[in-house]
Amino acid sequence: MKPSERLIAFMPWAGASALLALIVHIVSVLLTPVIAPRAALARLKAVEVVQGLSDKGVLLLPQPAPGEQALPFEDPTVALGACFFDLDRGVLRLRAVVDGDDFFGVSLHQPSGVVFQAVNDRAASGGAIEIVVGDARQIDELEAQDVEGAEKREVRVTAPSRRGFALIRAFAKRPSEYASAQALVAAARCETAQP
Amino acid sequence: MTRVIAWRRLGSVARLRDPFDRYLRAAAAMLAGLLLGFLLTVATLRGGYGFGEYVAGPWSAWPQLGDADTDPYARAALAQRGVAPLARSEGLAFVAQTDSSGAALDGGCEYLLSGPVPPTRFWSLALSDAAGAPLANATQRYAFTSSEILRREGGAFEIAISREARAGNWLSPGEARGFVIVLRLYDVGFDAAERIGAERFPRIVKLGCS
Repeated sequence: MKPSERLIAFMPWAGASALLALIVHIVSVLLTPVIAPRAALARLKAVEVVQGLSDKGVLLLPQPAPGEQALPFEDPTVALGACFFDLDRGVLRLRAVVDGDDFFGVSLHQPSGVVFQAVNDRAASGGAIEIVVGDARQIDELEAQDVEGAEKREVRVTAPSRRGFALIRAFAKRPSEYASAQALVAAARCETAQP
Repeated sequence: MTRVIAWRRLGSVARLRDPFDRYLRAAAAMLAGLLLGFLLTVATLRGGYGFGEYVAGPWSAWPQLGDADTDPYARAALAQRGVAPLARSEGLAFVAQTDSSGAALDGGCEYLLSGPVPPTRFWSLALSDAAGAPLANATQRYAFTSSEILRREGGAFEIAISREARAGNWLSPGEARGFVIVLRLYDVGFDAAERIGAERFPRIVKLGCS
């Protein structure tokens, strides 16, 4: 066989390899968020197993320190809490009082960690952040119960996944204010309710 | 026996007369494809968070991480690292892996961080390892915030990053060999789509190495 013939004989196999590589690459990238064993929700659930939720349904996370962090790349100056939702058990109702001038935010995440909604203290109405997370049907049910003309205080969010979590972040301007930021997070209430 | 011969033939790019040759080639092509595909995935997830990186001097951020419509690479990278990013309305996190000259940050060197911070309500500046964990050090200080930092007249500030104690604002990487600097902006006062330039971000200058 001449070298050129060998090359031609080799081409279809190389093409098949490249095509398969592309398929494997695409499938593995798309599957990673679903099957990654140490994604954000799994890490938070592991902390919950150890310390449990507060009586208000909030997982109070330790201040990020060496060897003591629930999630990577969290800010050591921010007090952090988490709430879980599982829409098969009901909607998540989250209420946090916003107090003071420092940054305070609630973000909603899919199990992979991807954010789908967030509210911060500047957008809070009446000194509190109130969020209801549900699926399309649950949110519709809530809307059907609304009294005509009544003021709606809560932010209603349709979740893109059945399960997920909310992160509550309170910024502490100084180390001495960290405890009060933690108290602000601990004052938040999360409950699973039927719409 | 035929197997042995077939293996030898594969090694010397055999002719395709024997059906075994075809099977072996197909198997080799499949293995190569699988391996290549996984390597490609590992390589793309290692670098960053997919497309849309915002680079300003040594600082880089992925503004699209704060949105619901992130690309599949960003989703995979988030899940694989276990990160829950700041939402767009909360803030934006910039990470520096190098100093302003482009050299990797080295725990044995001393750096001076100075200059402006982009307009924002609050910011914090922290050292961490490449995986996002704070660095153990004797001072147990892992970050500075915009409110507590000591400033000169006019509001300018400097942060010394060094293993040895320094006067003023000082962060220690402890015994870590390499580290990254994370600048988190809360309630960002500019549109990330504007991509304001490196001159609006702190400079990181290496002063010397021990």
